[in-house]
Amino acid sequence: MPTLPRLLLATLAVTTLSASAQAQSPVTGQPLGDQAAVAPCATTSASAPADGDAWKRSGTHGHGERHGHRERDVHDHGWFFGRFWDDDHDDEDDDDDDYRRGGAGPARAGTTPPPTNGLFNSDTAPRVQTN
Amino acid sequence: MKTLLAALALTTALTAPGIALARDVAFTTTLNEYGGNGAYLAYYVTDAGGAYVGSLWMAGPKAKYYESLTDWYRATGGNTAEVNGITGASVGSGKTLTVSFDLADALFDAGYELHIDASVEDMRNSPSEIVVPLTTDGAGQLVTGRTYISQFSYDM
Repeated sequence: MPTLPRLLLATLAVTTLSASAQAQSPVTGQPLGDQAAVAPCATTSASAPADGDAWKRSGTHGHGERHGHRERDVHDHGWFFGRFWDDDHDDEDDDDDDYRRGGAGPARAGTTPPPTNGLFNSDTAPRVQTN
Repeated sequence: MKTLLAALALTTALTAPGIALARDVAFTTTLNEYGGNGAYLAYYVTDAGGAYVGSLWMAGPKAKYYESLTDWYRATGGNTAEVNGITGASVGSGKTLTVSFDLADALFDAGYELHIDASVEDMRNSPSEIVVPLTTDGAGQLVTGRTYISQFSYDM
């Protein structure tokens, strides 16, 4: 047999053996496909928060959980699209939207002194009560 | 003793004008049960000639709705700097809003008028729903609105 075909054959054999070794679980030696199908997800079953506010205490929450009051928008786009695609916000009214966009709304009372329009006697913010 | 009296006279002379120039004023506004979303209310002052002087309070944080406060918007061009630091939440149907200020004494009995524009999402606008002269005699008197405001009064 010429040298070149022998070399190709040897390379093919090494590649096949290597691929077979990677398909085995490092612990059990079972194929990964079978193991993945039965493995429980501990973070979403056993330790899942029992109430809606528990994520705030646990400090672990992902995309879709930041605005808990908008349940209809809660879904995941995966690790890749989740980095660029945030459809959690829409054009609906949200008192905080203007502030997130920056500068669209006026400063709330108490965050800055009243305007210097000659009507106010001091820089004290007005006191508000709603019943 | 003479020194003490002199000091007392001096401090009195320095503080008395400051007291006379300031008035603690409370605006109380009660809304009707109109059944819609929270009302936006713009409180502002015009002079004896009807020219805009300045704003006192804006109930409603979203600038995109200010165009509905038509008289205030016409006077200010919707400039949010006019209500920086004097803006709060909108007022719900049937609720009572009380805002207390430390206002300049020169505002009273000098021909100035207080205006309140009102608007509610998906409902009609109500510019200058309340127009009331700022006078010492007018304190405590109830004024009735025509659309969203049931009654308004100021006390000092």
